[in-house]
Amino acid sequence: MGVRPNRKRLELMLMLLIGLAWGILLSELMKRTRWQNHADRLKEESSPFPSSQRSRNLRTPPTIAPSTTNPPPDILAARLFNETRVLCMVLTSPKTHHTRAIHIKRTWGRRCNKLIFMSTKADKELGSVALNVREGYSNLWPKTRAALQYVYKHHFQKYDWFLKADDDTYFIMENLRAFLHAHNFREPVYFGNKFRQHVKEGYMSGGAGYVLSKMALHRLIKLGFSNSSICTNRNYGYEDVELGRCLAGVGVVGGDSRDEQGLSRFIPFSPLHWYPQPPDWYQPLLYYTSPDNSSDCCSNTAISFHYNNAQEFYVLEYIIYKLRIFGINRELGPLPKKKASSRPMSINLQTTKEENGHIALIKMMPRKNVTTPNYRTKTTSKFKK
Amino acid sequence: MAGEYIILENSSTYPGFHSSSNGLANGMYRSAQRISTDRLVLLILLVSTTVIGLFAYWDVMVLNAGALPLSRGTSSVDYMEPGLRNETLAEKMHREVRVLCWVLTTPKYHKTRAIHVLRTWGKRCNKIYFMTSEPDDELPTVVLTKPDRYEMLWGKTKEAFVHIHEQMRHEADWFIKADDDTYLFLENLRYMLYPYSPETPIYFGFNYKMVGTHQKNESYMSGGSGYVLSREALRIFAEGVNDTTKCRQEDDHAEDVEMGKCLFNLGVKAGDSRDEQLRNRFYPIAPYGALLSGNVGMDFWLYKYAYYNPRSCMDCLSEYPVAFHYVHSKQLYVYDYFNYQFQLSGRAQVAERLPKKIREEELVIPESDNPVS
Repeated sequence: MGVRPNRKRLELMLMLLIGLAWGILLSELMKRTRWQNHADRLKEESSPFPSSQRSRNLRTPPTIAPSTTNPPPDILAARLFNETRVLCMVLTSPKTHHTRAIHIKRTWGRRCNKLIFMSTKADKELGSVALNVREGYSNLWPKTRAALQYVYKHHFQKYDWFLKADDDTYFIMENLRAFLHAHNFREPVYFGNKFRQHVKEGYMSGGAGYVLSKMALHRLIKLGFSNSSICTNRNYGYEDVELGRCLAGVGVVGGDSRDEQGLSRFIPFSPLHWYPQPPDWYQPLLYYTSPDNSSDCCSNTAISFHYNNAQEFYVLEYIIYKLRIFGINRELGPLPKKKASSRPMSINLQTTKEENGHIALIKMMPRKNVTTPNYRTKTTSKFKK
Repeated sequence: MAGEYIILENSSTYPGFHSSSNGLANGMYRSAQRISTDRLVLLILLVSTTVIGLFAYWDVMVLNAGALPLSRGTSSVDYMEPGLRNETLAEKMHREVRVLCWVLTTPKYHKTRAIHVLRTWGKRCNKIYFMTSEPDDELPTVVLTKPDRYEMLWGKTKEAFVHIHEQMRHEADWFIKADDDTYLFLENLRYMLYPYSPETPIYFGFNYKMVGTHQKNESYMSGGSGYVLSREALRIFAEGVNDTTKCRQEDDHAEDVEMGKCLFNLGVKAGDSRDEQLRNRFYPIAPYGALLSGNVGMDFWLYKYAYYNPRSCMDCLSEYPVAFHYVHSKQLYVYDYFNYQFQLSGRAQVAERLPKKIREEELVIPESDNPVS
């Protein structure tokens, strides 16, 4: 009888100890598992100091939930490529197929979701489309109309944004997608470098290129091109001015593409030739005034450059995509948040066809009274193109 | 009643057997029960102890594995100033690989070239001096005594290096000469120089074949894209430049050729500045020329004079170039914009690490492999 109580007590103590040991073991394992995840994430951020990384790892417990962290840059670029689908429409001519256009195909054109060369002659090597229009600078507007109609007819469903470029324009597609990611392609909006002349609402420089949202292209084709009082169908006129007038007439908003410092992202000249001071003709054309009269022309997240020759495409390709400065891994900020629809845009969405025509008619009346002299427009176009 | 009677009968008939059987059965049952319980408890105890022991051993091993980096990190953190705790690799290299830059210029170009060098890549040197013939308030100038003529370039270069050795040799580990139409990537230069000790008598640049009568494997560095001397090479040059049997005493002739001959005769090694994939890092032309040369024939002048086989194509430009030449002053700002300001969204973050140090006895300089002559 004396032995039995002792044994029971021993058994109880033993079970308690075993339970404690198992608890400690499992607790340690769980803790280590969490640390391991944190360490892996630190490695992905490519910390320059492995030793300090280790100490940081041990000292700082993980407080960030995995779902809130930004994906690595490689995955980010791939995600943007799939989420922000951009069709690139390059206006070219048969005599520049192999002096300009082919080099776009070999450089920045590869990073478009779809690349189409709009020309007046088909080219197997280039894959160009032969539009049924006359060639020549003075026929650029009918050529642009035909190109936009072709794109709408054949490729409208698959892409969210429709980019127009000249064959001497260079686009940084990653920066374009990062910029467009904050905007909704279902809104009637288009972006470029906004000029102030000729159209009251402003128009986008043709040389720096512009990008139309899906809704903007839809409105342009459905409401604008079928109404000659909104979109002129004459066989002459400056492509960017006429398009700006059309888009304003169908309620497409010319968006502000500047960065946080108010610097332009779509640049109608090449910084390889003009940096940091822009050319003289540039400042008077700008729709937005420079905030602090800074001498800097270009945004750090620039999207396009104009007036590049073919060899400069490859120079830009090397400098932007290959050249590195050792030890400077600039951390990119998170993607900008999606912007909420502003009230004017939502109002525009609900505007009926008749109201659009009415508004366009009202807006067109004052322009007829104000006639711009011919010499001024010619001078402007010479510099722009 | 019948059942009860039967039971009583059995008990009375075999009392001894019954009692003995019961006792034996009870005893066996208790013994078996005790043994099973003890074994089970013992087994559990052993297994638990083993598992806990193994875990403890593993934990200790992990801690030991992490101990050295941890202690090093801790000591590193303790020794570093608070402001330097988050420094980048570039900033660390700026402290550890000190580069003195000297730029050969002339008063005619102070305002059109030299000042723009100072505003762009010049500010990333540890020290920079402009060797010229007249002082300038806006530039850190050193006035040389040689006359300001192109034919006197070798004389000016000698005077500049001797002056630097006498006055400034403690300010840096490496001493690079550049023109006022050169663009230098100082971070990439430090990255290239990091494996070498400044006590090694060596210099780097774009290697050209030696001209005139020369020994095998003799080369000189392009003056336009610049060349960088180690501190030891600078000392050897400054102390031996007046030896008439080794270095040209007259002030005329091409500066880079005479520099190459002089250093070769003094025993300074002409280093190989190419990267791991044998791509040049010093370019005696701008990227325009380097890229365009892919379209020219074999009569391109660079193919003929380069010491190492130049393969000019898109893929043959290094990711970490050090120098470009024939860069006019506007272009300097272009490189600053694209390399220090421009942001490419989603660009892959390369895990950069410092290369291994090379001891002097391990240094191997390849021979010329350019078959064009």
